[in-house]
Amino acid sequence: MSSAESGPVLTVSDEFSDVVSPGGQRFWSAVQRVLIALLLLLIAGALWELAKLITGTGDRTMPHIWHTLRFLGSTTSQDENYTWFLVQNVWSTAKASLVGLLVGTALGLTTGVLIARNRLFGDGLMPLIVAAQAVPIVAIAPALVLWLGTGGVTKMVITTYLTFFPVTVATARGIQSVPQESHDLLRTYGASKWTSLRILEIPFAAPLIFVGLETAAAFSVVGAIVAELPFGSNEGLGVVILTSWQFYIVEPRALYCVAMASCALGAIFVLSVRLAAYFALGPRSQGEVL
Amino acid sequence: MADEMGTLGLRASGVGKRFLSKGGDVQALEGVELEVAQGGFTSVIGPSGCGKSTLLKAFSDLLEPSTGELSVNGKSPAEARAAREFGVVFQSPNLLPWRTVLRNVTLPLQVMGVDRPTRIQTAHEMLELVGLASFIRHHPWQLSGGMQQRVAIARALSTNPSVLLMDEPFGALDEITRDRLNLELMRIWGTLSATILFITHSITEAVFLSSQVAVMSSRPGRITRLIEVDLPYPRNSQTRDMPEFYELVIEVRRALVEASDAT
Repeated sequence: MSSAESGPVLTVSDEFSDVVSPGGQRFWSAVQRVLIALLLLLIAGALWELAKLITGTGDRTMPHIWHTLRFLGSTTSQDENYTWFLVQNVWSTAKASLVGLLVGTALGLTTGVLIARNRLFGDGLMPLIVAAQAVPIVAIAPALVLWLGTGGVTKMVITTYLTFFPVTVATARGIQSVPQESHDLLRTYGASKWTSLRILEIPFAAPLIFVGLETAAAFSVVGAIVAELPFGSNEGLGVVILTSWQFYIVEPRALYCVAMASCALGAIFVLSVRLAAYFALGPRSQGEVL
Repeated sequence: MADEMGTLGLRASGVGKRFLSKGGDVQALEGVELEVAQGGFTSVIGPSGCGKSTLLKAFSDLLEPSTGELSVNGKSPAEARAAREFGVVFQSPNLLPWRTVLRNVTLPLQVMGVDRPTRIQTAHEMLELVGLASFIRHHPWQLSGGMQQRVAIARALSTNPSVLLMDEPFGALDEITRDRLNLELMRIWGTLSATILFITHSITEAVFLSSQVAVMSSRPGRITRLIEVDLPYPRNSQTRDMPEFYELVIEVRRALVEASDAT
């Protein structure tokens, strides 16, 4: 045999091109992104102060940032530290968001797979899902509170409702874009529908599913807060927002503090999904958590 | 190679395939007759869209012919697929990007439910065979097109099939890489005793690799000529310099021209 020309190692090495970026480089680019994010935050703060200065807006409408931050150290009427009070309410909202996100994701994955697998079912269901999503949640939330009460169930139903949609669409689209050749490949090995879903379709759709999950994570926090807004709820960020709003004339800083807490919770949710994607997708996530 | 009398490796008799479409039906294949001996290497050559890929898909049980019959090792394509008689190499490497090279090769065995140690060992052997033993931990996107197609060949061989169905596997590669992989394929085929059906649109590739070249015409797709290539095996880079090689290349080219004139 002509092993001289077709010697495997020789032919291989010159065909090979390395595209892996070293781990250290990844770390520094992550640090860079964090620094840029902090810088942008500082710029936003500076713009706030600048706008206040130029327009001459009073402290009642636009309190100084440092005054607002100082308010976090104040004491509530129940003799509680305000930050601790916020953390407890953030926790209450976070629990509802997480449960809703998990249930919505499970439902969304299942529905997405069904839509992708069954064209007729998908064509019929997709417009309904889109239409249902267009119903403003703020409009039906009070009705849901009447039906289901002000407890955790209402919160869960609303967050599930909001997270279900992006996960469904992402899963269906992801699975539908699996190339025919890949289906053919598994077919030649006699793969069952379940095996094909597990080995081919879900992994193929995973990057898109995570994009849907990211949106869903942000929605779940918004959904839980909206569910807490109607009167009768007794804890959660929505309740704090409502009371801070009512006492805005007396103490404007409370509303800004709870707004920041809501942002922080949303950010934690979205970043957690990105972190999960980073570990689940490996090199396909391109190492971008932030 | 081993040319036993008895069951044929591949057989098509009176195979036709009609596709229904809005712009009128398309007769992709009509009256296709083909016989490949066990252990034989047959190339099917023809212009783009002549139905040669359709023929391969029919053999691999990915589509039903409208008329006629096909057999793989004497079995129907569906039975042969169930018995894992054949492996398919597609036009694109068709690797799963989230899996490493090793895990792409273990895929068929995983689907078949082979235990982990066995499938990893088999994959190692197959990657050794195609000369990629040192790339098992890489991902497909870290490999060149030629290397990716070699992984695809290793994957197709992992189930130890007696028939290999290859659909223009080197069509997307540059000529230098293609020549090199043709040599590789000859070497691999020499160590196995598989029947190979090889779809191509390269005349030199068809002549260099096969013992039989089937020339196809388009619309309707049918085999217009069978040319025996009696160049000695094992073939190597010297084969390409033989005058007989050139004569056969010219013969196949003429047959292709005749096929396209006839329609």
